[in-house]
Amino acid sequence: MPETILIVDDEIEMADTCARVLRSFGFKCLVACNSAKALALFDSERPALVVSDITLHTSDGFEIARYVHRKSPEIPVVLMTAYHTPDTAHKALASGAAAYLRKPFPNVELVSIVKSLLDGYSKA
Amino acid sequence: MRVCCLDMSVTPERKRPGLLSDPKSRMVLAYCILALIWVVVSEFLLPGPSSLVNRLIFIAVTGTVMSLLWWRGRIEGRQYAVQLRESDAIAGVYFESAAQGILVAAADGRILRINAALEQMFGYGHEELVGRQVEILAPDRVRARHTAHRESYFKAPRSRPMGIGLDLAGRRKDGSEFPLEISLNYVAPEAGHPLVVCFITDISERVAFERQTRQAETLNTLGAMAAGIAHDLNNPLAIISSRSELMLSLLDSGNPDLRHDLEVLRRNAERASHIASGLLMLAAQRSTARQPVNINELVETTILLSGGELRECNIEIITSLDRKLPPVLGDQSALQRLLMNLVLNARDAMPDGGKVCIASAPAPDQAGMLQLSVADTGAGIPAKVLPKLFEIFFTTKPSGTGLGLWLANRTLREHGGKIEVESEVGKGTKFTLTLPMSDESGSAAESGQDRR
Repeated sequence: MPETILIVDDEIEMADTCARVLRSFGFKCLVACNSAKALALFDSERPALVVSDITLHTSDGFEIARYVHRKSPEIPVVLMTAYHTPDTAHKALASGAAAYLRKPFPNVELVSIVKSLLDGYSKA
Repeated sequence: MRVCCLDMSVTPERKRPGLLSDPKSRMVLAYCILALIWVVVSEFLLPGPSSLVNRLIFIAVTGTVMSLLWWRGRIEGRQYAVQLRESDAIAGVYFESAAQGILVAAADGRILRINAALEQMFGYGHEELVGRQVEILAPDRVRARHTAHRESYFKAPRSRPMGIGLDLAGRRKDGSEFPLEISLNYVAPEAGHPLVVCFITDISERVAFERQTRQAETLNTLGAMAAGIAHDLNNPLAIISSRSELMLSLLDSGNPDLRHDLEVLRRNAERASHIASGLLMLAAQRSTARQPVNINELVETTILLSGGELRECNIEIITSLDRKLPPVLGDQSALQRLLMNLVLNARDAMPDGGKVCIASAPAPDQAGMLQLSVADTGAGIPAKVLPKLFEIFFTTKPSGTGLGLWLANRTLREHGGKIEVESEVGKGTKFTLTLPMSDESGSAAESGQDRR
C-alpha cells in the first residue's frame, strides 16, 4: 500500500511537479492549491506526510504546519519556499516543520527528505 | 601649551570710558566746579577776608580734591590694566584650546593667527602658515575662485556660515583633501585694518557616517527588490528544473540530442538560481538591529537547513558545542547566512563525502571572545590561493559568485570579530570565527558531542 503525501502549493504547476516526482517513486499524492482545501484533505485522508509551500495566497505554510503538528504530531511536514531567509527557516522550525526545502531543489532532494522522514531517519 | 594674546585691537567686552568714568575728565570737571564755588564764596558770601586768604583756601581745597581724584584714577587705571591682561589671557586660552580650528586673516588674505587645532587639522606648523595666503589651505582646483570670493566678501562683509549647500574642502600639507565647514566672522577694529575670524570644523566623520547611512538605505531598497526577484524567479526555476529532471528520467537512451538539450535546460535553470541567490546574498547585507544571538542555535538551524544536502553527498556532521557560551550581540540573519555559507563551501569541497565538524568554545587567550569553527575533510586549498580567499568576486568554483567569503569577512568585522582559515591540500580546511560575547548569559546546559 503506497503511502499518501499531501502536496500544497498555490502554484498548481509546482504542486503537480512535486506530485509527478513523488509518484515516480511510488508514492500516492494528493494536491491542494490553498490552505482550506489542504486542511480538508488532511482531515479526510490522513496523509503520511505533508509537503507545503510557505507562501500561499490566503494563508501560509506555517499555519498548515502548526495545524498538522497540533492534530497529529507524528505526521511530518516539509515546508518549501522560493524566498529563503534565515528568519523564514527559524519560523519554519518554530511552526513544527520537520524539514525545510529551498526552491529550486533537485528532485532527488525532495525524494530523499520524504523517504528519510517516513523511514523515521530524523529520529536516529 | 603655547598661549598667545589675540591683541586684535578689539575688546568688545571692555566699556568705552564715559565723561565721568575717565579720571582726566573728572579732574577737569572737579576743577571747574571748585573754581565756580570759589568765585561765589569769595565775591558774595565772604567779602571781608583778604583775597590772599581766599586764594590759600582755594589752593588747599583744590589741591586736596585734585590729589584724591588723581590717586583714585591711578588705582582705577591699574585695575583696568590688570583686567585687560586677564581678559587677553582668557581669550588666548579659548583661542588655543578650542576644538575647532580658528584662523584670523586680513582682507588681503594673509594669515595673521591660527590656533593649535587648525595646525593639527591641516598638518602645518605655526610658522608655516602665519604670513602666508589663506588659499594655501584650499584645494588647487578652487584656489583661484577662493581669491575672488574673499575679495567680494570684504566688499560686503558680514558674519555668516560659509558655503551652505556646497561641498567645501580643505587641503592638508600632504595634499590630501577633507570636507569642512567654515563660519566667517567679520571684525572691524577701531584702529587698523578689517579682519575675518574663521571657525573651521573638520566634518570627515560626519560625511562618512552620512555616506554609510545612504549606502545602508540603498542596500535596504536593493534588498527588498532582490527578495521579490528571488521569489519570482525561484518558483518558475523550480518548475523548469524539476520537470527537466523528470523528462530526463523518462527519456529512453535512443535520443542523445534531446537528452543533451534537457541537460542544458536543467543546468541553466540551476545557473539562474545561483545568480538570484548571489543577488539576494549581496543585497541581504541590510542594516538590522543587533540582538543577542545564540551561536549554538545558529549551528542547529544551519544543520537543519543543510542536513538533507549534506546527507545526500554522504557527508557526516559532527558538532561539539559549548552550551554554556553566552550569546553574541549581532545580526542574526547575517550570522546565519555566514555559517550556512561555510557549511555549503565544506559540502562543495567534499564531492565524494567526508566529515564536517562544527565546534563552539570560548576563545583561548582572548577574554570575552568565543570561537566557532567549521572544519571539513575535503580537498583543501592551495597555499597560493589562501591570501585571495576573502577578496570580492574571487572564487574557485565554476558556478561561484565570489561573494560568500567576502561577505563573511565583512560581517565578522562589523561584529568586532574576525575570520581565519587553515588549510592543507588533501586533508581539509578549517574556518575559525572569533566573535565578542555579550554580557547576557546564554542557556546553561552540558557540553557534549553529537553525531548526525
